[in-house]
Amino acid sequence: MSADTNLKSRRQCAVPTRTIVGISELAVSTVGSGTLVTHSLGSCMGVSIHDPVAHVGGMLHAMMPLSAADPERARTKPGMYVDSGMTTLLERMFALGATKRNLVIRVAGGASNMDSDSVFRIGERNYTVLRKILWKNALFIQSEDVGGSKSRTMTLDLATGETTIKSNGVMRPL
Amino acid sequence: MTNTTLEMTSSEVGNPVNILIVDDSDIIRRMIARTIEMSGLPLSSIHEAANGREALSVLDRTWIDVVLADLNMPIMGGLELLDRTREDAALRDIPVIVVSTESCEERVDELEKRGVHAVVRKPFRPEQIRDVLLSITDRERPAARTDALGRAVDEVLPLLTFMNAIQLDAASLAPSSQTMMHARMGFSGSVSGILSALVPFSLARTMSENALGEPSSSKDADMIAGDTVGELLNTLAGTVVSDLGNGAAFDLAPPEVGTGSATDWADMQVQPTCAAFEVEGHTMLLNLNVR
Repeated sequence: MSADTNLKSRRQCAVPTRTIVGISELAVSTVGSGTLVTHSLGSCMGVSIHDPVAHVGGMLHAMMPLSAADPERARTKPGMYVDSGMTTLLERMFALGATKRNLVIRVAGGASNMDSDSVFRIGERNYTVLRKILWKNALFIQSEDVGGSKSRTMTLDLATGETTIKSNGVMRPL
Repeated sequence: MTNTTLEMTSSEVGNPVNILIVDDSDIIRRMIARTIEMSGLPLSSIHEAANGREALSVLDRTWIDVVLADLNMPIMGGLELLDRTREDAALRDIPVIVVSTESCEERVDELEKRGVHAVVRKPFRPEQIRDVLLSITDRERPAARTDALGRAVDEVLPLLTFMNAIQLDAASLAPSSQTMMHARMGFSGSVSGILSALVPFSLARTMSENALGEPSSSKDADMIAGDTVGELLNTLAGTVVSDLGNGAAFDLAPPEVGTGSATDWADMQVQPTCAAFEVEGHTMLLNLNVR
């Protein structure tokens, strides 16, 4: 079950939902309460988008920069790549009534981990490709916590739009 | 040089700003323009110039609220442009943002001493340009002071030209294709800016005859009419600045008088800072930009 179908089934619940966005996944929500969370952002790119007017929130956890690497895979799992993930996330948020002008975009991840990833500078590539897609869509980054070598957890509060980053046991607003 | 006029949406507040981008690189000018458009500023127009000299020519004929300028450019660089604007009463207080590869701290300090609002290093992130622009435009911008213009006209016109004027709504006026005189002058003091005027030639001539107390000879009629419009502007500017600055000292630059066109009329009448006056069956426009 994908993250957003999960949300729909829980929409009736009174308890605020906490939806986990897994690696290579994306989720959107119009509930206006609860949180979207993604864990273990290393070289991956985490993107939190909130439209405070339309009460639409979304999150992406993309592993690699470009879907050209495996277009077939990108079709079935667009959240795997930064380019297809961002395009799909934005399209789905717009379909739910979000407007470009109101989007608040916060970005985390893109670390250069001390593993084989660093050979290909995946973190840097992910971040550059993300910036390119935002520039093409005429969108600004509101705030970011990128690079370095730490692992991050990103949480979007769907009621307030507040995004927090937890890394090395410390939680702070992004 | 290109000029893009952008539509404003009704949700935008504040006086729309006119921005001048000065860079010899077309790509950089376009990147800056894109960033400005993205930033959601209440935008009136974006003007572009490829060097300092082109920039001065834009500044000479257009009201600009903010300048973004490179330093290293052919013909005239950013430093000379900066110095020239600082010498000109009408341009002295324009906020200038330097967008350049300059990274030497001493030089950046020097630029800030010379009155540069901010220095953004190339290549820049779009967010940096937006933040600097917003830091300027978020400050309270002076409102249109057509009320002060009305008071000045009521005071000056009867004394100088023995005429009275009725203030009209400039925006709702019809276009004008009359032969007219165009005059502008800069002023600085506790408020600074530019006052410009479009006066139909026939009105200017009547004004000069009234001032002289006799008909001027047809030989020097043009010259005298131009001189009258210049003096009208001069006394109006003095009255307005004294009014807005509560009597504080000010400097007036000499008025420049030339001919105006239907395009000048159309451009001026839509400005929120423009006021129109009916004087003995003629209509004249005055435009007061202050910062």
